[in-house]
Amino acid sequence: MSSARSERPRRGAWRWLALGIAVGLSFWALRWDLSHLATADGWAAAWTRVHAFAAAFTPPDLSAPTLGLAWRLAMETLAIALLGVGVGLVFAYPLAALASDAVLDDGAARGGGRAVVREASRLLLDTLRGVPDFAWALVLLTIFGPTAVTAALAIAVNVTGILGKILSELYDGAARQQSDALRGCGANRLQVLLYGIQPIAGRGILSFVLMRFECAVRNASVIGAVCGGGLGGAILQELGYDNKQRAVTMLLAALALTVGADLASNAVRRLLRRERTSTLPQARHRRQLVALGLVSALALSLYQLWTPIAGLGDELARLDLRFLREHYGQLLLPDLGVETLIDALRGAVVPLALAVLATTAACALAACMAWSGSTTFQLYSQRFLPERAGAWRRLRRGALVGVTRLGATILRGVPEVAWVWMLSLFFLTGVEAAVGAMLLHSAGILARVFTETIDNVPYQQLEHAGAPRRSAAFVYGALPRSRTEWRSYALFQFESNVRAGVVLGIVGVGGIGYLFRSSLANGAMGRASTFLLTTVVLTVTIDRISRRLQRGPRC
Amino acid sequence: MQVAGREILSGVDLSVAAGERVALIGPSGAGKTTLLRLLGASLWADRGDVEVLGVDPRQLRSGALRRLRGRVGFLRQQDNLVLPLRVAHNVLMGRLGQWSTLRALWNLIRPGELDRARDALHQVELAERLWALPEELSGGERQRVAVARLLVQRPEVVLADEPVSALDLRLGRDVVDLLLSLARARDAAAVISLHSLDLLDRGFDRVVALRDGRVAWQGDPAAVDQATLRDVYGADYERVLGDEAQSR
Repeated sequence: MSSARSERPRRGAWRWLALGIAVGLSFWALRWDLSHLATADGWAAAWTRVHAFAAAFTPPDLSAPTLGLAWRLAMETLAIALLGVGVGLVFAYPLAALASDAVLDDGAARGGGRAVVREASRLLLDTLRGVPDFAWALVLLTIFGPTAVTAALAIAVNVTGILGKILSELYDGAARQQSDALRGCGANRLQVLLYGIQPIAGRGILSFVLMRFECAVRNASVIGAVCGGGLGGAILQELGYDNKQRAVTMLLAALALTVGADLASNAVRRLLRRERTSTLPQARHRRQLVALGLVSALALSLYQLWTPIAGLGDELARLDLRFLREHYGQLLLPDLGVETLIDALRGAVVPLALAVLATTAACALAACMAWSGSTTFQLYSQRFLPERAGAWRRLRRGALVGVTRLGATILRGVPEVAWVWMLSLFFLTGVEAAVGAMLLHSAGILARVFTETIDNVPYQQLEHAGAPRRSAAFVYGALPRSRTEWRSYALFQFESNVRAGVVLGIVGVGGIGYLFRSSLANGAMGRASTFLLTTVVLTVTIDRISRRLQRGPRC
Repeated sequence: MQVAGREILSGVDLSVAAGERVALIGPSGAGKTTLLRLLGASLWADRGDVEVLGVDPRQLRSGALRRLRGRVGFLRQQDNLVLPLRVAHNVLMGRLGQWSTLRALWNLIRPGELDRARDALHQVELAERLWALPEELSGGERQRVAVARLLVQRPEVVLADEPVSALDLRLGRDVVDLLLSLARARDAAAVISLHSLDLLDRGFDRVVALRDGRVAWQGDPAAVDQATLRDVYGADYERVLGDEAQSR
């Protein structure tokens, strides 16, 4: 008993110490250059750059042709995201089934081949997931050309890996008893999946698919900068022609699109959450509505992208297969020379260090936002505390909730790449801007999930904490009950940030992403392959470590 | 039969004839669930032979094993139903062994064979709950829906693992009666493990008592007396079954 008591805090202390060491090492590993901000003149120059930027980019071009173009490109971006997630989901389902113990297990005594199928599927999913969509875009660009379809395919490949992994984990987490009961009826594996595992895991799957859709919209709005199409391509093009006011219109359209996707996915979640209590006709009606909406959205996406899709045939017919085989075949043969391996290790440190620093800071910021954005603590505290807030105070608190939530929506609505671009005006160098970009974007994402967790704590448990004030009820009542979920979300965000670090590298921040891009551009395919492989290994290693630190599905 | 290095069943020599209804009793950890899972072809014996409907499940490939399982109905203590699916789907799951995967998929979207489901639910007095969600049902109603699934499955062997332990005595009697009448109607063998000895008089042909993984006693239900129960339940007799057994 006494040993158990002494063990818990010590383990907690070790974790904090490990985090402190990781943060210290990350600071040390990155090349910081804040010398230009060390003097008052430096600060003045930074603000001048920001003002010059603001002056050059404002007012946005709101003329009818530009707004029309922005609308058309926003629809194209949405179509890229929808098609990417749709195609990704089609491939994710079978791969998830093949990677899941719960699906493969048919309760038969023999099953040696099962392990081989499962491990092969998991390896494929890890590879698809470990390489960011930006890197896939660079590879696919040469095959399919710079079109919106290339962007959709790049997103689809990455989404297949991410959703496939999440689905398989959710399948494995689904209750086994019901699956056994179905097998007892003579059901085969697919029938067990359809009638037992999928319905039980369905709600969690829907939530993650919607979350992935939001991410895909954000990525689609910038991936065009690499492979053309959508708002991303247009922003880069307008900046190239020095049409800054048109560029800012496109940027605002991208922000509106990502915020819109965020709000729409929340609305769908709420709509489907009500089904549990609805009657059969209502539930059927709602499901038909959602199915109709999904089919229409996919059809519209295909219509929107029909020109590049129809052009795929010509593009593929023009392909020099021999060149592709010789050129890209080398991607299957990584360069394992000492120099390349050392470069890969050094390069991997950059996204890792960026992710450690940004995730740690984002967690702290999101924790504060969870307090100010929580309806439980700002609007309904009288339900578990002996306090009566007057009308003016309630109004103030309501405004705080609104501002916090709007702020979080904007923070996560702007992709990391766009944040880097804006922050580099102030910081100039890549590392500071990259950490700031990742921090802001992650804080927006974590603030939402942290706040949801806090608001899900039952009032009764907060009342039982016996705290005299809201702050004490938050620290001693809500935080201990949300700790496990917060850790789970933070680890997920960390893994996601490592991939984002690779993407930022591709757009110029440095590290393994930059090494990959330059190797690809120089035709050093063996080196490019090594860097891709390192990214996959990095992601898989973090995933396995995260799994040990927590239980449950993540992405 | 060993699990995690511990002997669960040993030297059990038991055969159940078609149409015979057997009650399985014994203290917790006696091996009742393991024995039922062996009979349900969802667990494999590391030693000895098990034959279900004349075949050894270990020798079967996946397809044949599924067909065998389709001929054996298994009711568990709880968690028989898939909560997000409606009662109609849960009942019609009993037909999965007879359906192709495509047909199963279609029936999930637009359930067919609803008359079968209605008939089965009518027999368990839940005809009006065809489209209810299992979450809206009481524990007893859920078990009756699971029995309705067995009715639709039309098994040749009925197995039930403490199917009434979560129910009160009256509901428990109803569920056991339903299972026995199902077995009687199909001339199916039935093996039902029971926690409550009050239910031994519901029409069983034989009682098999397990203790420490062995058959400690078997015979006519009317022959079960206090001395037998004391012998079967040992130290647990007074604590677990005192009142119930003394009433016999």
